[in-house]
Amino acid sequence: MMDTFNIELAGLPIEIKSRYDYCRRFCRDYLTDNKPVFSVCADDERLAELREYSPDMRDEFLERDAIYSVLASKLPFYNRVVLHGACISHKGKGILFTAASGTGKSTHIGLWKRYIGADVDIVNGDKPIFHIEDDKITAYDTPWCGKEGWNRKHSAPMGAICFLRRTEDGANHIRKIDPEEAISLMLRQMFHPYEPDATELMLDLFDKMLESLPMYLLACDISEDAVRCSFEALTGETYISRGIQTAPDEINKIWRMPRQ
Amino acid sequence: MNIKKGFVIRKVANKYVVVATGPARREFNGMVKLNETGIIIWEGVAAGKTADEISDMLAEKSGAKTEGDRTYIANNVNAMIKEMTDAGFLTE
Repeated sequence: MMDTFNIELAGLPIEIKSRYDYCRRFCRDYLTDNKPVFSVCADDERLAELREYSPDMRDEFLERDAIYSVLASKLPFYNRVVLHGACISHKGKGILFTAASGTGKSTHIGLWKRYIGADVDIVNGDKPIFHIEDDKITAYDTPWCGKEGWNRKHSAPMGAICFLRRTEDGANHIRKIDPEEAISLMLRQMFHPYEPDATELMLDLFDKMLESLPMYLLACDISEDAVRCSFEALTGETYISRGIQTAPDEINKIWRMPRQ
Repeated sequence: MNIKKGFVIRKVANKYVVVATGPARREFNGMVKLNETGIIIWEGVAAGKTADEISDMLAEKSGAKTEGDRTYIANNVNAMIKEMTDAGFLTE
């Protein structure tokens, strides 16, 4: 017997059918009564694919991730895409930091929160949804945020995308990159639908993002200077050091920061 | 010689991007960027043309006059087909 419920993601009401009732609890902050535009459930093929990558994951968590994968494959038909990255907003303007897993995206945005404070909001720490339509690009939070229990349902109009690399201490630098260089860096972080028609639409939306948003390549360490470096380029403002603005406990409520 | 099923080509930022979909995703994790010449070669292979036919097409398109030019084009075509073969894009 499937559990059926509706959620609203990035302005779209979607029907979810799940075998485990864990999924409804996972999505509790996004439940809606609005009429869904499409329905998703985790098909056997998608579950098997994810099982290959995560052989030890519990069934209900695997289903949760498979559902997001099926859902993400349908989003391009609605001018939306999923991107792997940590998205923040500064004074209401969205900035996405993207990189391969383990590079330090969460660390970097945690540092922004630590040193800049209340002007920084976390939109989504792992796989935000982007709505691209009429020259506007908006980032949205979803339950799939990389850390359980802290869904804030934030959204922000996008201002910039920054690809992140680690570098040795003291060598922080950032430069703008042109769309052609951005293709290789960014395309790996876009969610690729399973189906060819959805993939074509995803690539078209990706093209629009490249056209509309400034893109940067940041090489950084994990110091306050890394924040100064990216902050000034991405916001156009001068960075003024005011010490720690957000205590570690507060940040840990958003997600765990590595010890520094 | 033909290209395996499941590849999608789209123009992104003035380059042609080739991405695997469906079951092909498992084998090909990345993507391929092609310039204007590359896309002609790719589409020629997809249409089942031979290397010589594709070279002739490119030579005509570019107005190649000398033997040297035509050899240069043929070498490029063969090099790209070899890369596509080595990467496993082609069926036999």
